[in-house]
Formats: sequence, structure tokens, C-alpha cells
Amino acid sequence: MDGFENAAALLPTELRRALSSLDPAIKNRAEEFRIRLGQRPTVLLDNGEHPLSGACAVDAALLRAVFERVTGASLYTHAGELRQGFICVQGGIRVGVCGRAYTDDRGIRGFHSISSLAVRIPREIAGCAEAFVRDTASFPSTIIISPPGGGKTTLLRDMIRLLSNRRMRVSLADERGEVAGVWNGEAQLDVGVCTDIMTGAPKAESAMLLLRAMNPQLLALDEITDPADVRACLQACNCGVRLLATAHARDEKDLLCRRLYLDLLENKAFDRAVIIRTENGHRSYREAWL
Amino acid sequence: MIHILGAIFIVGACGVVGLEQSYRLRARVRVLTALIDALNRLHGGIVQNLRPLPELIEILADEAPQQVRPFFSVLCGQLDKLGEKPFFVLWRAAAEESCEKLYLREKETEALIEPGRVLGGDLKAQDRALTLCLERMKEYRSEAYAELRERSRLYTVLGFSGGLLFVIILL
Repeated sequence: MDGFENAAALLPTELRRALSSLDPAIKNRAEEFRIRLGQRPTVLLDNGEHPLSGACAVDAALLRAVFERVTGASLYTHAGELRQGFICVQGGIRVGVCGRAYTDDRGIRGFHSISSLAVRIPREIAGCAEAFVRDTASFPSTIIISPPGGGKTTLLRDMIRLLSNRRMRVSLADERGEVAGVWNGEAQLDVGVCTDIMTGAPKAESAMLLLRAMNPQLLALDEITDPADVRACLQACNCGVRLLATAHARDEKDLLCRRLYLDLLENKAFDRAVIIRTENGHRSYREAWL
Repeated sequence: MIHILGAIFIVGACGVVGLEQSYRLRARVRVLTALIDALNRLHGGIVQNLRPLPELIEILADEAPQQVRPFFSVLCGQLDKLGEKPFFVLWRAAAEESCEKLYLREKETEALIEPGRVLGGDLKAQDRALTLCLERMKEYRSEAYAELRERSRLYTVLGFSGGLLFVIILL
């Protein structure tokens, strides 16, 4: 429930009060808060969005207030994240931003007005990766697959924690700060005792830096989405470093159909896929050797 | 004897009033200099170092020149209300609460309040607003310094001589 309380703390008193009155079972299942202009705030559970009882429709002033609190009245410090449409705050919380943007030659520079915010609640489920981490010596390079919102980051985090606590040197390229939730240099989420974390920089650049400087035994990345990420993974392979990463796909067959991952699969960058499936609110995990 | 003591007291009291006015003029120049120094640090912290605003305000509450710490301390104390109240409202309230302690006149207080409208937002807008604020503060400091040179001695002399005149009238 800590992730829930931390995320709720970002919101003004009236919304916090409405959230605190939720049933603990609902709080445990909550994945996001959604705040949209002119609508009642909602809580995203595994079975969809549910309007928050006791809360009124959101007006522009409330949305601006939430945005100001989320950014710590320091929007300019989040310029790089904002270009990608989100902001990361203390506790590993990611806040997606929608609105009327203004741009420059580098992309989105800011927002004239905000129309909606999605506050993602980070979840730590200690032990959820236990079945996939048998020992560090024979840990295979692994790619975690699911559609968006499937729990890839949660599983990735726990795998990193388990390996790191078994004294494997793990380097984590945490571009959006969602995996470790680094704040003032300290990881807010448990990623183990032997993990070196790079945040804020593009994954590919961070990965190359970590390979060169931190002598990892395992390189971990969240979401391979770019050809540059693929190149960094292949470079790690060539250096004999094991890989742990996530990707959007339904299953291993779907992964094979995606052009972006062909190079990785053809070069046997990954030995194993862990597929997460969500059905009727329940997650199941399946291992597939590639 | 009592007349003499009374006369000394009256001259002294009027002299103190004159000295106090003179002191205020000196204090204004010191405060405006300190405010310019603090705003320069704020400007540099935002534009050059991209440090978060609450962090900079906390630093200035501890490390700004003594004369202007009241403003940043009040503001720092209000930062937990961010989200309940817009930052500009907190900034403006802190400026209005501290303007008397800072010997700021109305136009100077307004100049201090003005950048609060954009602080925390777009970087270029903050740069422009703080640069403009600093230029205005430097002008006001020059005016305050000129006033100090013209009137400081005048107020002191007027204070004592006013007291003396009062004594003569009474006698």
C-alpha cells in the first residue's frame, strides 16, 4: 500500500480524502489514478476504470494544482521527460501528461494547458520473480513480454532485486526512473544491494556507459523500444554480459513478428522469454526458451 | 535642573526620530543589495543549474544575506501547501508579509511579486522575468542610494534641531 499512499500524497486534500476512504482491497489492486478535466477522477483497477466516489468533477484549477504539486513547482527540471509526455517523481511514480502542447525544434517544450493526468502507482511484489531466478551462475538472458500495463516492470524489478541480493553485479539503465525510483541519488524501490543505476539519460547511451564503466555481469533495461536499444543489447552480448529486458508483445510468437526485435532474436541475445498474461484480473507467468 | 533634563530628553527623542529615518535609508540600500544578491542566486540556480525551486528556496532561507532571509524563510515554510495553493499565491503572500521587515516600498514589493507569476514554469520565461526584476531592483537601489546621500544628514540634523526648537518654544 506504500505506493498507493505515495501516489495519493501527490494529490490535493479533497482527492486524498476520497482515496483514503477506499477499501484496502481496492487500494491493493489500484494501478493508476486518472484525472481528466470535466470528469470525476477515476481509479484504474485490473478490470478497468472506476469513478472515485466522494469526488467532484475536476476543474482546470484543480488540474493545474495537481500538475504544480507533481512537478514541485519546477516544471523546467522535467523538460526532458515532458518531451516524452510524462514526469517521474519521488517514489518511482510516473505521471503521464496530456494537454495542449507547444513545441520547438526538439519536440514538446511544454503545455499551454493540461487536460488529463495519469498517475501510475509503482508496485513492489517481492518474490513474484522467485520461480525465474534459480541461481546467478546459470541465469539466462531473459526478455519479459506482455502488453502495456501487464506488470513487466514489477517483474523486472523483482528479478533485479533477487539477482543483486545474490551478489550479481547488475547495471540498470532506468531511463524513466520507474524501475528503481531514484530520488536524490537513492533508490526508493528495492532493486538489491549490488545494483548500479543510471537514470535520466536515454537507455542506449546509459547502457553503453554502464558496460564501459561499471563492469556488470547483468545489464537490465526497461522496454526495448528503439533500434538504439537493440544495438546496446547486442553490444552487451558481444561483451559477454547477460541481459534482462522487457518488451511489448502478446507472446513469443508476437515478438518474432516485430521487426525491431528480429536482430536480437537472430543473434540469440536472449535465451528465454517470460510471458505475462492477465485474465480476469489475474496474472500468470509462462517461461519459453528461445 | 529638571528643565535641563527635560530639554535634553526632548532634543534626544527628536534626534532619535531623525536618526531612525536616517537608519531606514541606509537599511534600504543594504536590503536592496542583499535582495539583488539573493535573486541573482535564484536566477543562476534555475537557469544555469536547473535546480528545483523548492530546493533553491530552502537554500536561500538558510544562506541568503541576513537582511532578506525573512522573505525566503516565510516562503519556505509555506511550500508544503503547494498543490493546495498555486506557487504564485505563496510567493506573493511571502512578499507581502515580509515587505515591512525588508523596508520595501510598494513599487519594490510589486517588482518582487512579479516574477512569481512564471517561477517554476518555462525556463525562458523565468529567465526574462528574473532578469527584468533584477534590473528594476538595481534601479531602485540606485534611487535609494541617492536618497540616502541627499537626506540622511538632513534627517539627523532636522531631528536634533527640531527637538531644540521644540525646547525653545516650550521655554
